Amino acid sequence: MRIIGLWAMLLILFYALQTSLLTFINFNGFSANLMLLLTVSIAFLRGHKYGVFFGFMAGILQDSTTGSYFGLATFSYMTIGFIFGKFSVNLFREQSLLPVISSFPALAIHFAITIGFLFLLDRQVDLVKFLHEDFWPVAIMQIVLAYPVHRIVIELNEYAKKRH
Amino acid sequence: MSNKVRKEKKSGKKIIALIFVFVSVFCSVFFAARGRFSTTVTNGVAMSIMSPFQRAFSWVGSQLAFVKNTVVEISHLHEQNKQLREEVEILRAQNLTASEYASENQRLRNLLGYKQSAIQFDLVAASIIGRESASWSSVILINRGTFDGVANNMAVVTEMGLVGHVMEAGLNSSKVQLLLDPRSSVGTLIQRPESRVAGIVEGDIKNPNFPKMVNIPKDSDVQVNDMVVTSGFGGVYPKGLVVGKIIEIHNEEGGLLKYGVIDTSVDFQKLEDVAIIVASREAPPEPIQPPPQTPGTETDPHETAEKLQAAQQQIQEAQQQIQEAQQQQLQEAQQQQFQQTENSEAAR
Repeated sequence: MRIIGLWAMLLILFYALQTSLLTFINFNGFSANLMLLLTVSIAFLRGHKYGVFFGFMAGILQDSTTGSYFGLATFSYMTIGFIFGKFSVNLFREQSLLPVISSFPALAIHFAITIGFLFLLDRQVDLVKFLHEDFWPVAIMQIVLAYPVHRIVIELNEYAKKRH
Repeated sequence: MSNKVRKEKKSGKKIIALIFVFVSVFCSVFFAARGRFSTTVTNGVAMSIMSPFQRAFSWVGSQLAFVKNTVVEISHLHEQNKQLREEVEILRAQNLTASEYASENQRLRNLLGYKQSAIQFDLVAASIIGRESASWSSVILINRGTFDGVANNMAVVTEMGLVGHVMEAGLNSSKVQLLLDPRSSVGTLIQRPESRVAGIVEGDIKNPNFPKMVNIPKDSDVQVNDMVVTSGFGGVYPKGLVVGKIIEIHNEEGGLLKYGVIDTSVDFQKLEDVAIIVASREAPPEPIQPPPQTPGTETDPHETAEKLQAAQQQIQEAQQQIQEAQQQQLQEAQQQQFQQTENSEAAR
């Protein structure tokens, strides 16, 4: 129960950080997505089941508070948690480089899902401008933040294993 | 075997549940987007949980933003300061140019004023374009030459007084020998009416900024602060040009003569514009001014003149009347004499 509380606290703190402090560093309104990094890290460390679950919780939290379309972030994070959880094997679990590298394709998938939904909902998105101007700064921010986020998740995961 | 089947069944249920969740979430996006699905309660609870944390992080964020803005502002200030410095330099240069123009304007105005007041001279204005480096302030080069009517030995002046004379007139520039030059000699006299002592002003090689007035008899009336003007002797310098003021008087070594040190009225170190006297004529007589009146008994000179004129007219009229009366008496006397003569002849 205490471990679940710690994970929940981590999720809430990171989300609060993402929606308040990190928004001060933004490029055309796009800022770093810590929920995505958390989902990828947990999916790598705990597998696709935990990845999907954590993605679901993170997505629900985001959709409930700041989301424009309820379920969009949930679906995106669940999908990412599932995909990267499926790729995770015991061999790479303790490596920090893989989640750092994975933050880039994770972001690409997240944006692809979001833009796909927006197209399905008949919303116009300037894809060329987005790819030229907005995507790269956010991707760099994700890569920069991926390592510290992954280290925190590893530490909490180790603590949870010990308490088990 | 049964365990394996049970595990597969369990796994299958999980996959179905997962697919169900995915589909549900997928559908909820569309329902929510179309406004057919809302999670007001969930949103309210989530926001209530999140708000204290977000508030705390927002406060930290605003503080950091303040620091960031301050840093940005400081960097902008640095840039702005740099730009302002550049602007100040440009403005200083412009100011310098404007001051230069103002100064030139003032000098030319003064020269023009002198030209208008000195109607006995035909002046040609000139600017100094060079100084002989060998003797810094003894010979100057001006931008007027024979094309402008300048010739050798013409006097060069400013509104303050005598500068020197044209030594060599070129086509469009001329060399002017200043009165500070040791080779220069100017016939002068003391301006004071009681004195009018004549002398020669020449440059002093030992004291280049203060020329000397030499050949002054020892017993002559020359005092400190006497103004020295050109005498007109020699024909080069017209009479009456101000040379300077005597500041010191010394005896010559021989003992018979003395000399005065002159503070020139022209500041040769600041000389920039001059005028060349290309022609001079006799100055017209100044209108006679009424004599100074005793304080307390002043009268209006115009009124006095009118009264005087009226009195003169009355006198003239009286004289005319007297002349007429005398003429009449003379005629009457002549008539009487003529009648007496006729009567006497008739009596004969």
